[in-house]
Amino acid sequence: MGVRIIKGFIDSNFIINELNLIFFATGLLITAFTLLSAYTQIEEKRREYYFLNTIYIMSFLVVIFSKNWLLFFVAWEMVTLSTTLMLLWRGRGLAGQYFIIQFFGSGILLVVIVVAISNGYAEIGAINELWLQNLFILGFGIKSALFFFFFWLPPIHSQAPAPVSAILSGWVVKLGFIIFLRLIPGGNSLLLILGFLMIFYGGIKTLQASDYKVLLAYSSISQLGYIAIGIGSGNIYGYIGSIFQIIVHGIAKTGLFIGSGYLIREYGSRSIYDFKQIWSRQKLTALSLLICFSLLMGTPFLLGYNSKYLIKYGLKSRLDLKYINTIDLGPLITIIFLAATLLSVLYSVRFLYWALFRDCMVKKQERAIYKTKKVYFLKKTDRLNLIAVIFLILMLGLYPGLITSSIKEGHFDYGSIAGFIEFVAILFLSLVILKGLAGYKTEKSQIPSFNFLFNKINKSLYRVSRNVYNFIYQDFQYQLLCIPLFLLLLLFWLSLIK
Amino acid sequence: MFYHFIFILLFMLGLYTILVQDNLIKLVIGLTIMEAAIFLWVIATNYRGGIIPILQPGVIEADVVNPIPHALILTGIVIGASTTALLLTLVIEINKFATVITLDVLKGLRD
Amino acid sequence: MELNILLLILIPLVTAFLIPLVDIINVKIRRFVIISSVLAEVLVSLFIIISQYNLFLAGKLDLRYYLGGWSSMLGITLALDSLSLIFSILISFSLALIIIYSIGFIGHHEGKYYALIFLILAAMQGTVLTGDIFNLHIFIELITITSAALVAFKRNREGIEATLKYIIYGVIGGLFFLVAVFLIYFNLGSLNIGIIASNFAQINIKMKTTIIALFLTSILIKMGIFPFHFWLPKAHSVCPSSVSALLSGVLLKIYLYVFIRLFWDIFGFGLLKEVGLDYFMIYLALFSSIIGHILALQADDVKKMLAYSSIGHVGMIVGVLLLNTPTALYGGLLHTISHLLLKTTLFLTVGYLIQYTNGHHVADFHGVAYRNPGIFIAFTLGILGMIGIPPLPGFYSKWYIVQAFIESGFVLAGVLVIGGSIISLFYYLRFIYRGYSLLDYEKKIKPQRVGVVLSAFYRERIVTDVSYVMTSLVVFSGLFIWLFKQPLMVVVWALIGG
Repeated sequence: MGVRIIKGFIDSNFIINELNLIFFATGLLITAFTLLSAYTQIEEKRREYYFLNTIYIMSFLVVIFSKNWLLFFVAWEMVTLSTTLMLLWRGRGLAGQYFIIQFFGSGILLVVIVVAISNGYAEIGAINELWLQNLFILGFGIKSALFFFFFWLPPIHSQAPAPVSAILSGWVVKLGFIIFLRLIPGGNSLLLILGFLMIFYGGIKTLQASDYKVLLAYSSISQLGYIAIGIGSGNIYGYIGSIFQIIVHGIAKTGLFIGSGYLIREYGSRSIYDFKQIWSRQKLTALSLLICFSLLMGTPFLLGYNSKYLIKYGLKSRLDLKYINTIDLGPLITIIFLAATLLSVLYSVRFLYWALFRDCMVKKQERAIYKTKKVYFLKKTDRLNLIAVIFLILMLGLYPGLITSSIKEGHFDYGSIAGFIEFVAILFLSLVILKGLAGYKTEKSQIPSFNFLFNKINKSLYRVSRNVYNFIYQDFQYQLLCIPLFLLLLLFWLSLIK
Repeated sequence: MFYHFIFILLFMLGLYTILVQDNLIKLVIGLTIMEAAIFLWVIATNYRGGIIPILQPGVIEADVVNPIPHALILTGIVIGASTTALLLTLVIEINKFATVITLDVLKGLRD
Repeated sequence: MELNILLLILIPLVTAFLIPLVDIINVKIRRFVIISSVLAEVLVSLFIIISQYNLFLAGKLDLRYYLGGWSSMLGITLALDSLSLIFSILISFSLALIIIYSIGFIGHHEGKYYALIFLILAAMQGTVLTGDIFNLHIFIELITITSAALVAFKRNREGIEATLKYIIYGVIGGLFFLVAVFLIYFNLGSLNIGIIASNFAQINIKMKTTIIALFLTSILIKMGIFPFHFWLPKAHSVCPSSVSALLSGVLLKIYLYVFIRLFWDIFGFGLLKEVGLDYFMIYLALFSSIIGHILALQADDVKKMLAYSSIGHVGMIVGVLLLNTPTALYGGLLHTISHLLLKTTLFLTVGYLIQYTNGHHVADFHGVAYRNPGIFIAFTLGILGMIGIPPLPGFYSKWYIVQAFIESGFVLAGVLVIGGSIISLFYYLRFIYRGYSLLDYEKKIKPQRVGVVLSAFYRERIVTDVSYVMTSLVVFSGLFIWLFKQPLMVVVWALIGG
């Protein structure tokens, strides 16, 4: 009896298919990494932190599996609430900013969902009307940091504690895209354009960043752009490419943010120019940085290559994009995409140069000196964590079949030699460009902030409220006068009815 | 019709008193006038001559005075008396704080 | 003939007049009398639910008690149907908690306080249970007079002024109500609600509209909808917090009940639609809601802020009820319950917190959270429920309200509801920020009382325990919100079908 009720509840409210199970596994893995790193990175009130994480895990599982709008929304709000509480480990200000901005986002999303429900979409599923799709892009805009709405992402993700940044950047922002995969399987041009804008804006900002976590946050925006393109192209290849990209970026960003925690502790600084001699000080972290960034820029034999290849292929074969008034736009799109790839390779290489390869050719004695200056010694759990991330990335690169075998259409092999040549050429080009720019060393930048926005809104709201108050509250007898006036107005109006 | 007219006149007079007079006691008087207007109106319009309203065998309902309005008005008068008493108590209390019981002195009534 | 219904009114009424007698004999018995009376009230309610639950679910609940054995044509009837059952239960349970809270909270003039509060309880039950429209007026006036005496309970200048304003508004509203009652009596010759409801269509349209206009003005004054809201914030904020909880949490809902009873059961909703008042009322109520939220921003006094937010929420409920669709009525009733729970919790916790501050101002909240962490978390939970964060009850009602508005084509109204909750985030968050702000050197000093406004609690334990019970009720009702679905739908179908 009880079992049947539970089964009935699950059947009527959840979808369980291969795609969701993949996301489920990825999400759990990513959270497990962050939990491992939290063991050393979160020092006080660890038990409460793990409790919040349990709530977070349960909620994101419901978000992934649910097909009931209400359940989905409740679970997503729980994700927001639990991550907000996790941000309290950095401070009230940050948690407050995050909460307010997410509350804005969920407010818009609630209206959009209700509009969808009243238009007959009782369950989460493919949406046919274009205007509703665009409305959903607006609704998810703040939550999953689409273009125009991502202003909150760099400040929050760069200031949060390392494990929380890893959660936020690695998985929470992806949840919106996971829902997009279900809502817009047929593609949407608006999402496509937003994706390109995100790639370029995020890429350029990443290239200019000197603060490591800000760099990571901006690169998140740029990489989310690829997902948006993949979904927006509405092609089966793009679709699978964006699934890959979600997994790739999730794992890579988690690894990077976890590493950022160790690096910042080691050097006491967040500037990438201060990361000297990583190879001798934190070998394992350096290796993880190398692997994760190679994954992000799409190096062959890692999963990032597959995702970008598939997205590009999907974009090329989208027919309605190809011709506008019989002008062939195919080459143009290819060039734009190549430029985007160049940008992401460029910022990855730039970071790798400053952090890893700038001073790797020092003498043995000097290296020994650096070794003695170590500040933060990687604990056992930290080592385990980094090794697990590296192992996972390499394994997925060698056996992409782990994912593709369950999604039948997305079979992919390294047959195309053109992709390799393209990548090598882009890498070479970016090396040349960086050489010309002398590594593109930028000024030390401030951590981006959007707090002034809230202050402004708060102040103007307060002023409006004050003015409304002064306008409405007249003398007592004027207030009383409202009663007969209202009554007479009502009687007059009603007397007009025959 | 005459009674209705008088009722509206008295009611408006009470309302006018509340809206225009400055003195708190006069405000209370205005409220009392409004109440009295309603009571007078109900009694006057519902009066019809007859015998004492005790339902016994042999008494037809049409012959007796209608007792319900009177019962209602009695209740209404009790309520009116208690509100007036409470209001006057409040005026006395305000007099302790303010010494002058006019509205233009009592800025606290505004917000 | 059901004596239980009479007992619901009789027990508090007798207790109210018993308390002065008990005071003469021995003051120490008073607490015993109060608690046993409250428990008796709750037990009678429980007995009614348990014995009538099946009948209630079938939608056939109709208990009657004829006072003095007179028929409904001549005498006064007490009647209990599904709508009044729900409100009656809410009243007895919430009032029980509030009265137990006051045992710890009110430290002076206790005899008068309990006599008055039991009179209010009797009057509220009477309002909900009576089947006679004149009797309804009597009970409403009784509520106004007794609550006015409680508003002035502190006997300071502000309190007296607020009471004066409250009672002038209340009496004018009551007089309009009385005129409308007599107009009905002149036309139909009966005061029984059932008879009026079945014969109301016979009255000619001019008279009908006059009656409606008078009732509407009166009930809007009592509920504090926009042009008549001037009395509300001050009256709800100057009294002791337990009374504020009663006024803002429970009493406003009683007027909502009267509103529903009048315009759905007695006149029939079709009439309101026929005279074209429903849209006008929806816009007025929504405008009032937004005005309430905006004015709450400028209120630095915490209790005034809560009172303004009550205006916002009551406006929202009235607006949504007037849509008269199943979703709308369900959402409205659900929000009535959740607002009752949340506002009561907020006022009770605030009542405790401001004992530890110098005053009601935001600035006085400085560091309160560190002094009273438990209660402040309860306060925060109440706030989260108010702005509509799942899984607290405020969210679900917000969801259904937005859904109801959008289904009926009022997209802008749905956006306004969301906007209201975003504005309320701003005015609530100020207090939480202030509560958690503490300078470092202050953290080291041992938490201690800053100053005491009222005479100190002498039974602090009761106050905190009741606050925690209220908070756990809030959380519980949020987690098990689906338990409300079936009972409320019974009421909704009774309203729509009837």
